[in-house]
Amino acid sequence: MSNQAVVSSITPTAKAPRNFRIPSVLISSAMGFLLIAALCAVFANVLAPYGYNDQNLLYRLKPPSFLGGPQGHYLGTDELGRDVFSRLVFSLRFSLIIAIAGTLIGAGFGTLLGFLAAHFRGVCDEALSALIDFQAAIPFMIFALAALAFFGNSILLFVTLLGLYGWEVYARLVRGLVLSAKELGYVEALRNLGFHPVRIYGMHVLPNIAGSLLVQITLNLPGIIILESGLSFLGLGIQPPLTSLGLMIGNGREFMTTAWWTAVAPGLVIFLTALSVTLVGDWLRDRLDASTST
Amino acid sequence: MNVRFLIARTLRALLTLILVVTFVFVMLRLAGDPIKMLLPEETPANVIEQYRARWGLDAPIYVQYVSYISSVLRGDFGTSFRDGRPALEVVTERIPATATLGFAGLIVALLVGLPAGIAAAMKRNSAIDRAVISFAVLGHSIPTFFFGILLILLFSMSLRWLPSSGSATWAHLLMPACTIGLWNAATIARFTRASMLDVLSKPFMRTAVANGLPLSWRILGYALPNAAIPIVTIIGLIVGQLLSGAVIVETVFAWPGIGRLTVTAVAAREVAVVQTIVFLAALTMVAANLLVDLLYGWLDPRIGSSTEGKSR
Amino acid sequence: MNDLPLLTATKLSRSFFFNRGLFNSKQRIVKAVDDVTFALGRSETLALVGESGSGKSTTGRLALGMMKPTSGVVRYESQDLSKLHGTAWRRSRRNMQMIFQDSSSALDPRMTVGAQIEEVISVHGLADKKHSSRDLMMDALDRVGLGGADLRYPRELSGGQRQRIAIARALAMQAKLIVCDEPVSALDVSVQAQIVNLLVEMQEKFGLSYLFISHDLRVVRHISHRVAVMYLGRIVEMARTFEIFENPLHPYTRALLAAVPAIDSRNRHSSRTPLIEGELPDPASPPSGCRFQTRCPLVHDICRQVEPALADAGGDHTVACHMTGLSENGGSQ
Repeated sequence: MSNQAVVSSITPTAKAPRNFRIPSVLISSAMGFLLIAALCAVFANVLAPYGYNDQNLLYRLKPPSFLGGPQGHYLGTDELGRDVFSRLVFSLRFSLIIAIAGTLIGAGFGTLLGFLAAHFRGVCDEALSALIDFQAAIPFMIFALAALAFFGNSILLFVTLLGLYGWEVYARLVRGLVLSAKELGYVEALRNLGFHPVRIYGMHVLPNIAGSLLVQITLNLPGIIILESGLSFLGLGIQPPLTSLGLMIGNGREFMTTAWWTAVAPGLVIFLTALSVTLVGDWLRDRLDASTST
Repeated sequence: MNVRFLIARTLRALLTLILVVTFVFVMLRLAGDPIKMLLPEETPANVIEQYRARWGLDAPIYVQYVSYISSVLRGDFGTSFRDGRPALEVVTERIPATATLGFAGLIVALLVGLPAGIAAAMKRNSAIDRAVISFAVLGHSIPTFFFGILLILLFSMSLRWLPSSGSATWAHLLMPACTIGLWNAATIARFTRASMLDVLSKPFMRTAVANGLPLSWRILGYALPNAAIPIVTIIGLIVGQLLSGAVIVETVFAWPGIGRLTVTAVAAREVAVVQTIVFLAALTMVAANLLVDLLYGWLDPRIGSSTEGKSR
Repeated sequence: MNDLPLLTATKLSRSFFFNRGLFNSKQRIVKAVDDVTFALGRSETLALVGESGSGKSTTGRLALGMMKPTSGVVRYESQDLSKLHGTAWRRSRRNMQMIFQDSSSALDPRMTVGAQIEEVISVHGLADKKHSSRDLMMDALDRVGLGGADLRYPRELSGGQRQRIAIARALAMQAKLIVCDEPVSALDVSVQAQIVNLLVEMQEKFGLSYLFISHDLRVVRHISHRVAVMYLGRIVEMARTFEIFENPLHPYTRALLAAVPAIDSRNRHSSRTPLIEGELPDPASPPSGCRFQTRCPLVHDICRQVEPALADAGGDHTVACHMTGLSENGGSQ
């Protein structure tokens, strides 16, 4: 469908003509932030002074220690007296794991379909574009919510749904890249060496298009992070006792009048993460464009 | 525009809708016993039997499929558990609230996004351009629910200017509309800038400059109409995804529309209501696409004659 | 020579279909290869020559079974290639290889050339206890004069060196038949000679057979034993190399030969001057009768109506021209 081209580009991957470079200070800060976030996620259990479900009903909705709250609770406590900072680093861990898992599922699924369509052409190609058209007919959010309603919430379904978000971008990208590799005679040459198609695509074509795929993954990741936190915010994604950044905001929203930090802290983390990944993705794409055009 | 193009597009839209109905049918079958999902648990056995007969659930699967389609066509989507009313009624009574919010959000998005995109394209590489691009990147990085919460903290809690939730007055509409508008304004600004830059580089724009036409005339009379197609496409998509955006914003601001209904229905697994919403969402999307296609034909008469050219 | 040819192509045809557009249901049919028959013996080089668009590259792909013919049969030894599928087809690749004009499209830019040669050795299970895949790879590189280059990446090599790698890979696979599709036309003249000499040397050592596709008649004269001249998908003349160059019978062959400049390597560009008067006709609607009639200096009424068949002109020399006898007598040049 004609609008489909736009669907993929409405996510922060839209290719507006770029005329100036992103200042390198911003890129370094974004990378720095992502590094810190990744370290926090990996070493959550070392960094967190409390467990993410440790309740202390005597210390409920206390402000951050730098605003006069109790010592040791750097970002204050929530309605059950749980330490916001500790919950934050664990939420970051869960949110990142789920977003990355979803991204990998989507990238894998889309890449596979792209290879199939480019290899077999004909009916396979038609089926792929029909599938893409069809997916464009139901807004993704509604589709995901309906699946959660029909099948009931489970972490497996949730991650799968995140994986279905944006797969068509990879399918399209890979299909195009493989077709151009075929055009150049590369695939035919490998085929004539007696290689199995799985070897041709998996061991020769894939490594050569991995750069473009990686850029696309980076460009899609912010969308998935925001989708994950949105669904969890609604209470329809990650379920307690697990925690996620969106879930924290959803909880904190109830106590905004008295304890704004419970919602603002995870909100800032989502915002900065999505922004940093977007900036790094744009930067990676510019570098890839520069290296392929020369 | 030729009739053939119009008919082809309409048929395609209908086909898509049939596919969506089929898809929901398959999902429901995969999920479990449709009766249990579409009717409240305490439904009397004789009513269940009635529905079983009405939907032909004892018949072979293709007969069930046909009767499912026919009940969908009749507008019979099942019954809401909560108040026992038809799901269609429960959903349609919420349409005005969501439509109002969506329309207001679109106005905000257009009022911000279009001028921002045009200004950025006119003053390429200037401070304005950088500001607009930064706005577009930031706008897509802030989750709508977080932006809404920040608005509430600022305007309701600190300044006490606006009510934080509900839909009683026009003042209630302001913050939700701005929240929906921000994300879409970022999208529109980005696309307007890109397509305006494209048009401004065309030879006829340089001719217009050489002819000494005033700036505003060049923009409104020449550049914007020529840049309209991608902009209309993106607006169509925004309208098509109206329900999607409403889900989160209505929850944040307790706006009594379909979005909030969706969240409560999904949480309670009210399949009858959810499937009605899915059909409504698909209908909105398909209608918006169709409208955009028809607008294309009107904006650019060449498109109507080559239906294949634009489908890729 | 061996009594059984290595490769026989019998009445090969291959058509391509193009849709003319959405509202035009008629298809454009191009017969790229039309009724082509030839045989290639062991240790023999058969050259396919002709202008671009003559169907020589398509013939090469058909001969390797990389493309299925619309009709006709290709047999390698006695095996019908179109009957091979899946694993059997892949296994058959070991025997028949192709060397492309663009050597870079045949090599993975991200792997060292040594690893790429080892890969084919392991895919086809050619290593044994005595000869590890590494030994075989090193041997192959030594043979093409690139011993010690195994850790290089394709981009670090020149075009001629990459072509040597492609040859080394075919040698490592112990291929018996190599289709060379314009293997030297992208190379400098000095390098061309090296590659051609290498091919000849490998043929003498390992008894390889080459189907040598080229538009460069000087190279063809140097390497091939026999020459088939193609025009618009058909073979119009076929004979031993000496015979073709000394006693060309078809007016098209003569025109091709006339366009070859004196053997002067500096003058490469002059070979690009138009070979023959007029344009190559649209392959989708070839002329009636003889395909060459629109450009032939000897054209007669019969040429416009009847398509000449390949006929024996004596001494393994076949030609498809109504005017053969006449031109011999008349000496029109």
